[in-house]
Amino acid sequence: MAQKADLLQGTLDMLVLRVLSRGELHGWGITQKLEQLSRSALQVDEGSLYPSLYRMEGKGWIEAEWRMTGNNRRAKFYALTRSGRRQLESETESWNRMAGIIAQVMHSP
Amino acid sequence: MTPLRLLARRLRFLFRRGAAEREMAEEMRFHLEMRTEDGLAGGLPADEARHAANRKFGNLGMVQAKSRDQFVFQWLEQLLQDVSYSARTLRKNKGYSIVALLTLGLGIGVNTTAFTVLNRLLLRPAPFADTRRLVHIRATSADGSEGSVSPGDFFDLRAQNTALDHVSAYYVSWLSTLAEPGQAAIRCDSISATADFFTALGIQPVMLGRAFTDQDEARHENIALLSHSFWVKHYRADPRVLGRILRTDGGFQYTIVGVMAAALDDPTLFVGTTDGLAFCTLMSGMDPRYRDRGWNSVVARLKPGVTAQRAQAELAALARRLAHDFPKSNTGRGFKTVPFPTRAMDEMGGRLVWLVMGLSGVVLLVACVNLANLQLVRTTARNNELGIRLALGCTRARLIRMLLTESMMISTAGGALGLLLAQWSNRYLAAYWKVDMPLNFRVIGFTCVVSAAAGALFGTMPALFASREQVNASIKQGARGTTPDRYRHRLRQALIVVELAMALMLLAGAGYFVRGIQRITQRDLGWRPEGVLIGYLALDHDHYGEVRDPRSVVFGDRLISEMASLPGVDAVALSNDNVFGANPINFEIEGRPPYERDVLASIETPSPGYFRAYGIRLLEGREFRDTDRPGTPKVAIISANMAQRYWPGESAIGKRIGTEDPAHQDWAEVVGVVGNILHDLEWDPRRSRYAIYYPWAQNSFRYLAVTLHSSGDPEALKEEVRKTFGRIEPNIAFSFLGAADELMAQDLMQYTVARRMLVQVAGLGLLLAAVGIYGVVANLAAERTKEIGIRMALGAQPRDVIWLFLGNGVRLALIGTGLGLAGAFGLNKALGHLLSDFPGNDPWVVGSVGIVLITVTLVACWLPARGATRVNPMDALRAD
Repeated sequence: MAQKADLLQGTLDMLVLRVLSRGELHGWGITQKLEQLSRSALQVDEGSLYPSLYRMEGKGWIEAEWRMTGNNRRAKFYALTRSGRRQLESETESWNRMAGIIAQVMHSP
Repeated sequence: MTPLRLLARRLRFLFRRGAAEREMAEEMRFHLEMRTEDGLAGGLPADEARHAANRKFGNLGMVQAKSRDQFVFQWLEQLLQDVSYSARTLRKNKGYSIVALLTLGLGIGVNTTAFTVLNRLLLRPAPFADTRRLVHIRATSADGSEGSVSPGDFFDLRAQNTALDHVSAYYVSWLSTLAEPGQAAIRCDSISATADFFTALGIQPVMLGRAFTDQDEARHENIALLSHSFWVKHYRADPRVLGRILRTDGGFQYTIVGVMAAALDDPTLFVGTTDGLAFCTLMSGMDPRYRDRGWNSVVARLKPGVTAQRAQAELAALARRLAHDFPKSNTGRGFKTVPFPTRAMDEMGGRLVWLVMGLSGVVLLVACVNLANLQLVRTTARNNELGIRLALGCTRARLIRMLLTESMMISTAGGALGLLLAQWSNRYLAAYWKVDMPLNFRVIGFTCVVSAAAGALFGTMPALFASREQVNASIKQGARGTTPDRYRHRLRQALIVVELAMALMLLAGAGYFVRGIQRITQRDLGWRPEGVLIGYLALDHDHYGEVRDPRSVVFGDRLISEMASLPGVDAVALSNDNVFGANPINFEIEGRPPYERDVLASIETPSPGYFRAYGIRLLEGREFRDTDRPGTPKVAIISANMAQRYWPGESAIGKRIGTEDPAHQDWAEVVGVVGNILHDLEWDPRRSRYAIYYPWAQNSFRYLAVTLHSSGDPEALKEEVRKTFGRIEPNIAFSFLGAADELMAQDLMQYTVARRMLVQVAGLGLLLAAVGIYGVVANLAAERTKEIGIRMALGAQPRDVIWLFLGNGVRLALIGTGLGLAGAFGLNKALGHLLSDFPGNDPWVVGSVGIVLITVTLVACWLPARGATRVNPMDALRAD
């Protein structure tokens, strides 16, 4: 197993939004997807995930709906809203800028 | 998610807690199950897979709590908690709740009432367009006095200025409409205006028919618009009224061309109308040659981009040209633009209303201080509870919020009660001003703001204080029965002092009006109002002419003889209605230089019997006789102060005087001297005006005043007088018929209303202050029960214990009264400045108010002190 990275403060929201931008998922699905996409480098703490989901739902970035899963179980699915998509765009942009700046500083001779 | 759905969701979490919680639990259970299945799939045994999943998830309760915080309006939830808790506390403390509610309800009610008046009479904008560009033009004379604009000047103003649009003239007057056959004549308020009056004001006046046009004015048409209420009342809202003829006592016949909008019926709209407008006639055919006197008000609108200063400069230039062209009439005359009066009240009334508003605010402050005190007492009693809450981890902010919630609930209820009270008192005020006094949105908004502010004010202080509480100290202190700490004690005493000072100022404010009205009603008028009945009427022009018409003299003689035969009447007199006579004018004395500009005399034109009817003392010479008639030598009677000034040490009889008024150009011989009289609200006899009396028969005028004196109640005579008059002249109605007392009461009305409101406000303030002091001292006594028990057990006499409390009370009373007296003198000084003609300033009143307040304080201290001495020492020691 690769070394695990701690999530930077505030980046969980962005990651969840990114995952949801590829399609609707339930909470469990989100943790799975995050682990998969990070090649298991990221382990999402449920204690942070659910408050984050509820917060974003409260802000109207995502919305939830109870539906049946593939194996016929009831689950709460989250989907990105239009304002969530905007939020994701702006967070991505500022993340990229920040990452660029940090890289520039770190790689300076 | 739309904001609406968001809100719905939040509210669902709030109010359908159960369902939301279940959903959250289910969601997390699903997560756990999925992870367990994952473990199973990885080959773990069922037990271990479940444990691993749980371990991974962490503390389920914590996760749920953290999640919950994200989606619930936490503050709202806590608020609901606080509200239900406060409601419980308030229900349990019924006594406190009722006192608090009444105190605030009365305080807020007074303020709501005052604000309703303020809002209705001062703040409500007139329905005129862009009032800032509306100007009123007044004529000024050399001595600085302001007056109306003469017709000649008006036409020049209209034609020769480039700064103003729609220069229009108008005047408000009362007159009678002449009766239709079978109907009594009606007394009316009317406006006569030039055609563009309504255009100047920027209003659309008619709802039926048409308004005045420039063509009407050019053709000198006599046309009228009826006010809506007049149309409904006297024409039964008949639309066929258009084209009918309206006859007035001035000998005019007006064709009715329209009916005005109902909104213009407001009696506060056209300052000067008393019962609302009856009709509006087109003023046309003014004589432009007439320049020495006028009765027109002039209103105009500044042209776009023109400042008031430029208009003023242009008017000044015009005044100089006119003075050059017409030196006889226009020397020294200027024009002045003032803002058009768009408020319902004159300046004095406005000041009174603001004053009442301000003092009502003080009452509310007193109420708040009282409640703050009560709250302090209660938080002291609740020390234990609050201490325990703090000890259990309640934050101070939360504690303050909890206590504030309670005071806010009281103040909200108090606001509601206040609105109810205001609803009731407004009805009475509306009758006074003859306008509606609606509790509209603005008033209700005001009440809400005031209630919230009051709640915050009396809630904050004790709440802040309570949260300063040291946890340990408060829990320990509650267990013993010691005196409360010094800081809190000081605070309460300071509140009492402030309360006393404010109550004193309130009383002094009310006293100012009580004393002023007393001085005015008890002054020596130089005449006797008791038993005097006064009627005003206008004879119609067609049958009686204007001035010095023999027909009016014949009519007058008949009127006097018929009225004199009424039962109980012992004197009847006629004079000209002092529409013009009241304005003092210059006079001239034979053999002396003409007209001293600043010396004026009021002119009265009484018939024989006038001095007897009014009880004015004849000091020298004779009264007028029936033989002083047109054709006989001109005679005059003057007042004592005038005789004193011009003929000191000798008799004025036989001397000759004249007046500026063209009607009195020949010299008149002084045949009598009568006592000085006071007019209007004058109260200082030294300020009594000079008066010149000319006989009515030599100066008859169609505007008449009839004065009767009867030995009985003049009110009872009214019907008989009306009936008798109706027999002599059925076409004319009295414009006013009432006792002299009533007339004087009308002059005083604004002050009477102010006095009434202020006396109630101050009474309330005094009551609240007394209750507040009583409450604090009683509470102090209760807290010191044990100490008193010990003192008494050790041999203290009841007298000593009473002095213990009285001493404290006296100290508070003296400090509070001292501060209050300083404030009251300041207030009196300010009032004397604002209401310079009103004789309310009297240091004795302020002083005696101080004594009243000290007495009340001492009684409020003495009662609980006496109670404390009745304590059985043994019981006291065992207390707590």
